[in-house]
Amino acid sequence: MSGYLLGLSTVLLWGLYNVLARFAGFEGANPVVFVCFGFIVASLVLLVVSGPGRMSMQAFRSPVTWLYGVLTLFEHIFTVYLFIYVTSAEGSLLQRFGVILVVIFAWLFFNRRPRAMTVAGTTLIAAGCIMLLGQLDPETMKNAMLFLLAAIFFQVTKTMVIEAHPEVNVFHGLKDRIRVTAIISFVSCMLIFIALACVAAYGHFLHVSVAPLPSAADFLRMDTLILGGAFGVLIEPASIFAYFYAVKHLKSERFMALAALVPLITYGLEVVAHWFTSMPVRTFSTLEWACVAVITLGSAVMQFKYRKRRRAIA
Amino acid sequence: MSDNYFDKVREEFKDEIKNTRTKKDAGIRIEGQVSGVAHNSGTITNNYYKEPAAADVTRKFDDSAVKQGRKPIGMRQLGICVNPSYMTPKEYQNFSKGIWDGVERRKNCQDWQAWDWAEDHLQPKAPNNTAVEQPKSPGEYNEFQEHMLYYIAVFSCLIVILTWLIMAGNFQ
Repeated sequence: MSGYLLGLSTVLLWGLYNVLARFAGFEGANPVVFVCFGFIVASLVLLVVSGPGRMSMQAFRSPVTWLYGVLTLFEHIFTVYLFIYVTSAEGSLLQRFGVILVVIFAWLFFNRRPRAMTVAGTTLIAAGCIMLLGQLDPETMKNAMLFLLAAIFFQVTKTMVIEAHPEVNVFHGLKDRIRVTAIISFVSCMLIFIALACVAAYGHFLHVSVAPLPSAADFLRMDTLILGGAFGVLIEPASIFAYFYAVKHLKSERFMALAALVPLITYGLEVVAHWFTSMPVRTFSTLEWACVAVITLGSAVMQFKYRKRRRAIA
Repeated sequence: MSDNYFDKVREEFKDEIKNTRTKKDAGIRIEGQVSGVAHNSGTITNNYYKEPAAADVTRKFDDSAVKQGRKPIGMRQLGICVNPSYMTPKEYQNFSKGIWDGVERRKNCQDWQAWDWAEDHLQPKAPNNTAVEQPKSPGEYNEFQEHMLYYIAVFSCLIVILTWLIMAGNFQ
């Protein structure tokens, strides 16, 4: 029971992140600065919680770690950009496209032929996503597609990096895993932060525009930092804790089935956020609700094969 | 070929290497060409834990390292995964061919001065390097290094966050 509670907490925190990211984008915060500052704060919190110990050097000295961290960061940055053009519930639904790409790439590169249930699930997700894209405003759809594809590209590449280098994910102790996660965030954020801060300083002192990269003014906007800080202190560390505990208790397949609820929870949270902020919320039409149902069903169906196989083994 | 093979063997026996070093009292399951249970006390209690026959024959009366002009540097621990640079030519040959998996199963066996098989000349290593160089298992670094990195990360984060906030405050 506690496993399901933890799983739901993780899903809730992911939904909260989606809404906060959308709010940051809506308030004009620069996504790069928001994500970078948020992750630096989250790294600090996670490092303090995990305490010193082993595995830090292992993670730090691995080029795969650096690659993984940078890919994660870019995935988050493009997700926030996506939320500028679509609502967080829509964005969260559209991100399910990534699952289809993961299945295709796993087949192409890792020779893992998808099972019938996986094909059925991905077909449902694809159908739902295409129907949903058809409902978007054509003006915003172009930008939304661009950032969606970028976010998905980094998400899929990240997944493939883990798959090709399983040593990234072999840490057993919870504190070790949290410490390694913190080190990964720290390394990638510092890398991106130093590079972009140098560019911003260059633009500031020589009066040169550095767009579309963040300028010095973007870096020093206090409300961006407050939102990033809220993400780094309240959401990210808690979601990492809850995620690790939930996966441990529920096993990944059950957890992934629960994660199919993220878009629905995000929508609920968005409605709640609308009561307190000026952030607009989109009221779904019947067709859009059908898309939500189809995508959620597709995500759940994809996990069904594992449960069935487990029973067969038992 | 040998490097890949050694990596594979090292991966396979990593627990054993770690346990031999830390001398924890635990039996370790060995899988591969032969299987059995090795105890860290140094006594082998399982008959299955044997040298492969081919390697056993060829490693008898092995004076090939002496012929190279190498000196013995100490005794090998039983059950240890031998680093190829400390092997005799015969052992290295068996190891490269896959006849021997690199695990020492003979009692009272010598280690030899390091030899670089790639360049095929004596390495200028101190002869008092009696301990067999053991590969590090994943995540095993000096505690000082681990702690240093941790505190560098924590203080870097703190400094960046505070500086960033102060600059943003002044910028407003």
